[in-house]
Amino acid sequence: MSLFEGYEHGDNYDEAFHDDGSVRSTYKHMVERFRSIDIAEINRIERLVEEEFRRQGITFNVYDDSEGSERIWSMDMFPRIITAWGWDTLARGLAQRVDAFNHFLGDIYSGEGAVLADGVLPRWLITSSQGFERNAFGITPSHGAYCNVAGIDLVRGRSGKYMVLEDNLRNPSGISYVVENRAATSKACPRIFDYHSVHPVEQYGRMLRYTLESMAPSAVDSPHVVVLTPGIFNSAYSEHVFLARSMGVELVEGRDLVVDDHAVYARTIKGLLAVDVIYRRIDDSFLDPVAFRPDSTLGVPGLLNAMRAGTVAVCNALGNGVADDKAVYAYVPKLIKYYLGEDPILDNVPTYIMSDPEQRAEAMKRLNELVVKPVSQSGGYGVLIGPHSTEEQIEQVKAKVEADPREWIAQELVELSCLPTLTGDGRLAQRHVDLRPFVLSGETTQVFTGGLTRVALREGSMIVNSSQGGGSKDTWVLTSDSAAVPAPSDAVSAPGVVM
Amino acid sequence: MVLGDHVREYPASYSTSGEFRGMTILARHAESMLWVGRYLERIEATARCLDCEADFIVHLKAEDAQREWEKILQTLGFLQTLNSDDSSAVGDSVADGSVAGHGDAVGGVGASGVLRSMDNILSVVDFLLSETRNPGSVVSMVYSVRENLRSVRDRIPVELWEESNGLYLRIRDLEPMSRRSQVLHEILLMVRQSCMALSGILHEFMLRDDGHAFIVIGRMLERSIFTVSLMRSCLSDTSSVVDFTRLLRLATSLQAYRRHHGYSHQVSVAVAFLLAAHNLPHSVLSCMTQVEKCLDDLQSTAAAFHKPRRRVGLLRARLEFGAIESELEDGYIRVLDDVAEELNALATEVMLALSPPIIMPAVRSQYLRPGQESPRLGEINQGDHL
Repeated sequence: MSLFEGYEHGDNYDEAFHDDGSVRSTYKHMVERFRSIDIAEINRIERLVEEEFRRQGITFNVYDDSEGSERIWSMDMFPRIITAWGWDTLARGLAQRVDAFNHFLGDIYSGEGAVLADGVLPRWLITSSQGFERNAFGITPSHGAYCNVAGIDLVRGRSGKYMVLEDNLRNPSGISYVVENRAATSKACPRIFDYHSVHPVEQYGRMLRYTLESMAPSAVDSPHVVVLTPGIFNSAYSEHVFLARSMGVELVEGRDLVVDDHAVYARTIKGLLAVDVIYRRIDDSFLDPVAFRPDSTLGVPGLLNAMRAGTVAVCNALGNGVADDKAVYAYVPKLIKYYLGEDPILDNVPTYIMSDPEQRAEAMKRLNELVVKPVSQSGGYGVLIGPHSTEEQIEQVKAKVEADPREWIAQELVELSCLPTLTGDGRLAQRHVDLRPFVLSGETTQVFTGGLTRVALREGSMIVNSSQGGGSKDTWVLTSDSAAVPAPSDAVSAPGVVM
Repeated sequence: MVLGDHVREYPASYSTSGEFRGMTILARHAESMLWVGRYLERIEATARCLDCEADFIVHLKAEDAQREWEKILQTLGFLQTLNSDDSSAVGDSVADGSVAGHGDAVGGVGASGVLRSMDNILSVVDFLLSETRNPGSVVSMVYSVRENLRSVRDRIPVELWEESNGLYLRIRDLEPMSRRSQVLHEILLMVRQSCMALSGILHEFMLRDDGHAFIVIGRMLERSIFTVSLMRSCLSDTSSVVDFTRLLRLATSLQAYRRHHGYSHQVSVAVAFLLAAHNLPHSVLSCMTQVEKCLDDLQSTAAAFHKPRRRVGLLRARLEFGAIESELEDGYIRVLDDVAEELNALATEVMLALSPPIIMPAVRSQYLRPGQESPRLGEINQGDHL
């Protein structure tokens, strides 16, 4: 029996199939391959992959999970394929967006706030943002690069056109899974790459290290970079390890660092060692107990002063939260036009700002058709999807919005695009996916070729967040769209093995 | 400025050169490495004791069996030594030496409890093998090794992490003896083989940097403390005949002893062999030679290690060049007590050299509650949403 037996095409945008059920050319070989293998084989591969993740300890913790244990990372075997041509447009759009954010953050934190004076977006929207950090005034990062690592969440609606759903400019995670997904796919079924020429992904560590080194204070010629983690119990700890290891730098906790005379040092067994660049994976409010939460020991006392003195670069910059505030999101197309004088290459999802009385009135009338989100949360927490919610849930959210409209936005529901995904009972079915590419910005802005595809494993669900039980897919960006694809090689696996 | 005064307590080497950076290690990482070494050695020793003893003791009368278990528990540092008042440093220090500490030294208390209520030997085996409340049980220590390695994962060979993770996954759900289907020997063999794999990875794949030095120091300290402790508990009980074969087997030195000294059953010969044989990997001399080499490398750049370097040098010289045989003839128990004391002092000095106060006193008094040095669990999971 074929894995595609009973595959329902529905009325979603399927990235592998046309509406009439014929296969899109990009997925021609992949669909053929999956048609030719049986359940036993796919089960064997899935077991192999899971065992690989388990052995390496590639895990993800789920917040407030009563089990409190590490969950094995989950990857679906049917990969996502993006053409070279399609990727090119995406990459230009992503770089444009991040450039605009860097200009914007520089303007409001180190410049004159021209964007506010010119009335492009209202001043109150900035000053009322939870991510707006007054302590960031006067801290100017090298090259004006605030968003050193950005994760921009993209979705494709019914038309198949990519749109930006969310910007993550603080601590976007997931890059390690991109690399580990690829490694697991290569090990478990090397033959799956036949007929495809795919961009490698393991260069991320090198790219990130160059980016971070370019952020060092100008006087330093061989910068000392460290990764700052909250510790081994953090949900993304295995990613922090991955980053430090692939860059070849030290993974430190707050207690390993001290500030003396406005400079940061690591406590080694041989004394104190100057630190020039900190890639931190903790939130702003935990960075420095002197300036922020006094009860926290995750950060480093005195770090803010060192940042102000310009002796250390902290990446991503302090206060980026104002730019990925979901209410500011609605203005990003305008920001791109304002700072770069260009039309946005990637569209936004139509958004209602609830603190604007007119837009709120409009949105409140049709909450059952919209998606309602809190502006400063991420990870899919607190999101209401109108059409999938009960009357009672909608009323509850309505009350919350009325009580604190600045905290909420509403968006048109995007019927996320779908890809064939293996279900528990050994067949393929449509599941919704999104895409998180990563943009690195230092001396230059570079888009990492590849990304994390997250998939909602429950039928019909559009919640793809890993912290809410979503899965992932290996994501391939093809190096060329021409017919000159490499011929399959028999060297990698035994004869007769299909994948 | 206030903060500056405290920083100057540490040796100032404000170097930024890349070469220096590659060579050194965070103090916290050094501590984790040290404990990885100690736990690894101790897991192997505990598994070895159980493997050697369980079969033997089954055949003994109840009171004899109890006495034999006492010796094992004493050797592993779970009971106070019979002849002296000093508490067993090994058991206690292992209990608090982990990233994922299990709190107080449950070991001592639990062990005497186990012995008192010992209606069958299975409870002792469980206590040493699978009791998660005992921080010195094999399962607990495997967990500790994994958690310590996790905190230094960025600087150890990938294979080391994967093997320790694998051992943890194989052993974490071990049932108590009475309900276990696997034969005890089978489990112990698996544990010991995994320990050997870990040793092999350490030896063959790991960069010889300061981190490696601390693992070696930890292992050699633990090994020599075990060897001495084993002799003390086996030899101090003058009421029974010394069982040489078992003593040497527990010290993994029986075969070597036979080649060197045949069937000579003179206590001082055996003790001298285990203390000062230069070619026996488990002798105290061999261990100290390795520790000395590591500390020698460390002290050339980190002045804090001068003190333990000096102590280990004196001890090594005494074992290597001193008149150890004649010292033993005057009374071997006194010599063993003496060496044990030196080893504990050495372990303490190494710890002190690598862990100056983590948070500067001025900051601590102003911002932290008493005793709060590391982040609380609750706040660690902020940020990083995916």
